[in-house]
Amino acid sequence: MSQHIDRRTFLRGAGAAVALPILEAMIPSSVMAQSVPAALRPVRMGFLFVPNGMSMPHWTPTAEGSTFELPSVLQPLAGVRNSMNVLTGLAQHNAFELGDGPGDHARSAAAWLTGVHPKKTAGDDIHLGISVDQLAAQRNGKLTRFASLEIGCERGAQAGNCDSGYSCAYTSSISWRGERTPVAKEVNPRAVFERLFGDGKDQVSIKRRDFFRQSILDVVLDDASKLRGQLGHRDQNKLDEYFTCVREIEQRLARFESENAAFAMAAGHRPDGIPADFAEHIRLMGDMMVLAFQADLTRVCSFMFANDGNNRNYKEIGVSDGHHEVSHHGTDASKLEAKKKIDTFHVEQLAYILGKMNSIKEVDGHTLLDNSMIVYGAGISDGDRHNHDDLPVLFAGKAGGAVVTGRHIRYAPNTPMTNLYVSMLDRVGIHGEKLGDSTGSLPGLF
Amino acid sequence: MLGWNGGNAGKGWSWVGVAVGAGLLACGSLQSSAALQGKKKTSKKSVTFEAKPDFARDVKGFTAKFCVKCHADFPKSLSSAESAVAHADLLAEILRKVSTAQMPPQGEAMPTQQQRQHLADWINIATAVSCKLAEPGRVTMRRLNREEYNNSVRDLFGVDLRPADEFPGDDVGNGFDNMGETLSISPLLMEKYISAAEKVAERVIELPYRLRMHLPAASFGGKLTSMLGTDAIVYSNSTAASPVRIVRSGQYRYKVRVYGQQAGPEVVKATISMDGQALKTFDLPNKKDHPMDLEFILNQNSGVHQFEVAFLNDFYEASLPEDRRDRNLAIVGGDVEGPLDSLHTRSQSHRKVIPYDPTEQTEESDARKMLAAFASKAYRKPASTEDVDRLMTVYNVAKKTGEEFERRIQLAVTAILISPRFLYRIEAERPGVRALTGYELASRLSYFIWSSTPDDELMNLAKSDKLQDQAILAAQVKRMVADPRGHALTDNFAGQWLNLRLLNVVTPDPQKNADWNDNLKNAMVTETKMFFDGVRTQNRSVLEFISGGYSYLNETLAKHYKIAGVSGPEFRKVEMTSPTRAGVLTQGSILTLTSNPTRTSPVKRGKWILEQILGTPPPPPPPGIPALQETAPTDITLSVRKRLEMHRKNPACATCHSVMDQLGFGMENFDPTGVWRDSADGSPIDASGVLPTGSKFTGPADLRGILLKDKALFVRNLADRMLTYSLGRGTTKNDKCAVDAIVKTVASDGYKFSTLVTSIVLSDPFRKRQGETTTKP
Repeated sequence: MSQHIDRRTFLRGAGAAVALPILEAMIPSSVMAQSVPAALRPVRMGFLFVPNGMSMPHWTPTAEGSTFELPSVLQPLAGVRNSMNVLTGLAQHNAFELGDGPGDHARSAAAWLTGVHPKKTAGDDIHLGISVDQLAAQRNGKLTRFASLEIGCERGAQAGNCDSGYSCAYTSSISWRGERTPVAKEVNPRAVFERLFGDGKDQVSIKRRDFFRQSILDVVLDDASKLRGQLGHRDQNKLDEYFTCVREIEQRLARFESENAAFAMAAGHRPDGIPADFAEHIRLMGDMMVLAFQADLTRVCSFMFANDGNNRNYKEIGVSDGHHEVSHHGTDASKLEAKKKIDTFHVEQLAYILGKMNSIKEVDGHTLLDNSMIVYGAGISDGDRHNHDDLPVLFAGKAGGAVVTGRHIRYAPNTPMTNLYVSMLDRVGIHGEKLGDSTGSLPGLF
Repeated sequence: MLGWNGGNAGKGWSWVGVAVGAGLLACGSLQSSAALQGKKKTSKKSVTFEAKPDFARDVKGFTAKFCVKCHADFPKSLSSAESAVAHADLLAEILRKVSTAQMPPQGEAMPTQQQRQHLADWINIATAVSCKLAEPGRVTMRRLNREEYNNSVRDLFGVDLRPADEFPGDDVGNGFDNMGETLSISPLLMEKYISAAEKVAERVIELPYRLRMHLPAASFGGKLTSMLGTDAIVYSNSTAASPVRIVRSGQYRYKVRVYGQQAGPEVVKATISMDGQALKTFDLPNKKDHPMDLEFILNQNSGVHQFEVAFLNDFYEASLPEDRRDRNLAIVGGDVEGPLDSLHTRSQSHRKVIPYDPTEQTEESDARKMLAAFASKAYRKPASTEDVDRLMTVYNVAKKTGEEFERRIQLAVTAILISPRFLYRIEAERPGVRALTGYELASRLSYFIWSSTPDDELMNLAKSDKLQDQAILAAQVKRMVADPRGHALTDNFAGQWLNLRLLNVVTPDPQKNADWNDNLKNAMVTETKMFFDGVRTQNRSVLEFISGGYSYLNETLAKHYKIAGVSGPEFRKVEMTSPTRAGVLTQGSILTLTSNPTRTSPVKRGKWILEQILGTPPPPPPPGIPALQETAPTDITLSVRKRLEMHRKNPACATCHSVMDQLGFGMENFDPTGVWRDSADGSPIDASGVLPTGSKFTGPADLRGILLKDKALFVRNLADRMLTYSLGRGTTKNDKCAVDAIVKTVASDGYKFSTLVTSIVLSDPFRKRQGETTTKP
């Protein structure tokens, strides 16, 4: 029987004792950027999604350029106003029906990071395309312990189809590894923490565990390749998912052996689980994203505050009708007001996350937010019209100094949102990509 | 849930409409009118037409006039009725688009309703499949979902660890979370598989454990005990106790070394006890120079125990010289060792993998045997020599690094639980149509009925090739359905078929639903599950899902329903005295999950009936109309009924809403959490409705009567849903014949639940598999 100290006690004690210096010492040398040209500093990408559209009249600033006033939904962001840009006029053309009838909630989430029109099916044959975060993860993921992080506050649906004959995979996943593989997200902050920082084992036992893991994975890969020969093509495709995942974990073992116990010490507080309070849940998941960025465990994260079409009520802020229901406001004043309240509530949580990122100084002297590109928004503009042009898009962070912030930029109507992603990919060294319906890079931002 | 949450809507193909009398309630004008003509007929041959279907007119003429202008690539090979089968998918797509008026687009020449109808009829007939040629279909290799993983681990090791509760949610396809194509693996899940496998193996297989603990004198504490040098002195007839923590139950040897400080006429007397139970009393003539060892062998459970030494005969006489004045008991120290009987104290789970402890000479060959046996269970088919060799590689790596036998097995078991042979349910690919092997069939059966791994009985039948025998198969189904593990059908099939799982995400407004809390919600789930369970375990008629005039209530739920005479937290069967509540339709769970937080939604309730009960999901509304909302922007003060009436004035909406809304109205007497009400917002409830067929009804009892008019419609849907669940793939037109046969068998046997399950298991899609390539004849 292995004996270990109660982990929480251990973490609290250690976290308090070592505090920040250790953390800096642990940051991989690649982050020690002072001697490194700005262009090569690690830039993090976060994609934060909210469902059911936005109160656009209270979101879009009237003035353009740097003198705009924050509309009421954005007011919680006053503290980071000069570290972000509001982008107006972007569109996800492929979230429109294009002859497929209703299902805008499913399409809006599906297209949000892919720019691809999802195949309408509630059955076996889901079909979309790779999302921007996963593309970044596949190209740059080897630089960090985790290629990417996918988190959210709501699990995939448990029953039924999610929207007008669209699979729940569409409404509950914005991250897609490929045409047929949505990436499941983690909704429990404790589980994210343990994934990032390990489960508190000491270095020696982690090393030993990884040694055996390696030999076990070797064996199961051999097993799987023998098995592959006995299967038909569809089954082989399924098994290939298995191969890819095992290999990714193998590489991770080979690349980094047992560093995380020390990270865990510095990271300190370990969440207990999913808190009952929704705001607290969003903030804790946000904390996890920030920690992962801060420790350079990953540079890519997608985060769904909720799945699209979510109909929870927000009684904590006095909205007793469901979110989806009020988003179909039909110009009814009380529903418009409720929708505005919900949108503001979400932005308050965003403000907490961005504020935290802005308070963390990195070794190059800039803040974590400065060294990030955080996209926040919804895949639907007006919840009642279900339109996917004029999308609400917030771009926070300076991308390591490449972006001038504090502006409201208005683009020509129907500018593909994927052009923004192409520009972001370009910023992290992935050049010349086409994503979904992209037509090039987005002018005026970088 | 969204406004247009389609049960089967995404399937893009509905043969239900043409095959049976779906016209009664089916919405969507084309399907229903086609069905009306074929009403009461069960085979395609007996469908009558206003005019004989005619390829030249119905298809060629239609497409030439309305399609090819834009679809210039329309296949030339679709040139005759005979070529239809080859273009079945395309025709299905045309049917869907044309019959839902998505094509032709606005502004183009429009076909008449009759022209659309003719096209639909022709496509339905031409692409129908002959039952002799019907193919059994191919299921994509299924990954175990969360429930299946948990249950498999439980049944393999005999301990319910639920490791998969930590896994990310499984995606849902065709209404269920066990669809081969939909279930995928991500690196996150793979990580979880690895750590779950490690945790399970470490938890189940116990490493050799030996406690050897010295109990120093100082560890013996008591009210009247004090240290003298390194010895503990017990005086004044008191007791000294040393706490001992036993981690693993078993047999332990306790020793304590004692002596007496002798004085007076008697020698020192002491009683040794464990947790207050006296073990033995001793006379201790010994002195400090010759202490005495007292030894006991005890069976002990894990936990903290008190090893006690009591001094019985205190003596003190101040007048005597100092060395003979005071009698006391002295403790030098103690020892605990064990368990001495490790062989007998291993847990049952441990013994499921390591049934006996091998000697060093035989451990290698014993390891092979044990791993082969366990892997065969976990892989659900006999492990090959190669499989075992692989596991022995892991075993030997661990051996080389000095790990003990049990640890080596632990690591090999970890490898078994990460192997694709465990994580996926694999059926070998062969060309052509073939019967499943016994082992494949055993897996399909056990994951269908138990959501778990096959038990020994199934594996033995598979081994002796008896499972393909239909009588044996049917007997197994009976056994399995009645088995407690059959509850998985309730949790996983009914939980998803009836959308019960969605109850976890609805949030009724606490201001309008004062008694809503988790306790009530859980009671609602329990009610519906016990109802389903009753039909399953007592082999009752599946029609009771609609009409059963009883339910299962506890006090919480009975109070909520305003039913008197039920007290206490335990659930019991309650006969309904009023006809308002019967079947699942009027249970709190269903009524709540089809409501909005602040009010009822007749649309959602009607749609739920169409999808879950009748299997005739409303087709998507025509393009250009957003998902239906019940509120007209004009006047929020109108009643829901009024607002829906306005909505139906739009002819594009009317077709379906005239069915959905009306069905929902029948349940308006139930508030958003299923409480009976006679009025709402000051007006009396109007629970009447008229269906397009002219059938009128008032209230839930009438409505149930209408639903039961066409029993085949409900049973067909239930069979289709259950077949989908059992196969892990969506049903296609190829499965029509199988479903027809299932419906017929079930109807002829009093609609018994077990007959439904049995006829699904005996159907071709369940027992056979189709390869990706066909064999040349």
